[in-house]
Amino acid sequence: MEKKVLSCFKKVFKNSKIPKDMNKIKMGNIKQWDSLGHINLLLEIEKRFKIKFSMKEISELKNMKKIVATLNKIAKK
Amino acid sequence: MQKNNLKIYQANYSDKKEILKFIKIYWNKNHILLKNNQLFDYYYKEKKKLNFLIAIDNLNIVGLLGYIKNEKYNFINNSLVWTSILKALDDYPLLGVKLVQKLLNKFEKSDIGCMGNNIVSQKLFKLVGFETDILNHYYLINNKIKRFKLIKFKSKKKIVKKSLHLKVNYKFLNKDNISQIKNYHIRDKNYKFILNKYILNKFYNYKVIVIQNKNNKVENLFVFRVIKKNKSSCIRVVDYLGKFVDFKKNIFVFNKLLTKYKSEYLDFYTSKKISKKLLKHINKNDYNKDIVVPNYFEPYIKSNTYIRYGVFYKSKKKNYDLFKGEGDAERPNEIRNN
Repeated sequence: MEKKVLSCFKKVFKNSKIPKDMNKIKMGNIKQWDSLGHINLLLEIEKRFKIKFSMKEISELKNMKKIVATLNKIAKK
Repeated sequence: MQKNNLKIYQANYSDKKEILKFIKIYWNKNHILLKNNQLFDYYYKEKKKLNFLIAIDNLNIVGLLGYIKNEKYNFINNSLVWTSILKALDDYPLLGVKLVQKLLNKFEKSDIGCMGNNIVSQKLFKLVGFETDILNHYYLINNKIKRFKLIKFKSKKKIVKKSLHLKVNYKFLNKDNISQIKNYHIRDKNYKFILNKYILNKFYNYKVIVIQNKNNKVENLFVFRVIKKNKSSCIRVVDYLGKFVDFKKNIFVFNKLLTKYKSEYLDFYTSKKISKKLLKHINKNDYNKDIVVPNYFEPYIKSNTYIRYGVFYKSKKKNYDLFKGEGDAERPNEIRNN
């Protein structure tokens, strides 16, 4: 799961350095992760995982840990 | 900049000055809304309120989302609501998303539409759950015109279509006879919508044609305006009420209008896909370099335009047939003297 999510990050933020430590992958730590970057990232994850984030999730998923946790939760449903 | 006290709420009319200031600084200093007070009030004023959601931080506007309610024209509760200007400052991540979410919550029972989005806002609307796409663009050229000044093409032969010879019962509607169709409506568009949005429009001169069957039963109606530019003209069909049954009749009438107004071309944008069979009689813009069917006239820009749109459906009725005239997509962009 983490690997798949990380590949989304690499695809969307291809001109930015992605921290190796998963805990440091968050909005504000990646140059391209602004509002548009966030939209592109979540659309890419939705496409890759064939899911749809809720309104609440869209505003909350501002770090990789949360994204992975949310995807795990969705997968269990 | 302080970001802890961010509040989003519907603007009061007294916020107008600050909204205009925000548009001037962060959107477009030459925006028509800054120059035309009447236009601003026409689109956004509702009693003592303005149809803008504004995000305020530290007493300053840091983002806004305008909207237009179809209810304004048709007087039907919970009609479609159209987004208008959307702008949020970069310092406030995801504020655009929050503004759209606020709008979706504000109108719990209304479907929300967006028309004429740029690529970024189209992505935002898609992410928050709008069904998004690009309108199809159809056009007909006037075979009798020799010199074309507005439309551009390489080969006239390829776009001149097979003419139709039909008997069609059609007539113009105006404020005096529009009540003849008072029982006819499609989606949330009724005769009041046509009357208030188009026939009584303060900024453009729209014309309405109804097509009826032999027994005078309404089959469909459409709205258009004639644009004069470069000592030439074109006809833009901006709205349509009806099912796409017997659309050949419409194409026949479109050709009649081209002759009547001596216009170069007639065009319309719609979410509806016209059947392949009908493409013998009408062209679909495939956006290749050989053909340019202009969309912008204020100012006139000789290029093809993609019109992106989206709808957030809350009702069960899905797949609306949308046209270019929805929301504020027909809003003037220049001050005219006439």
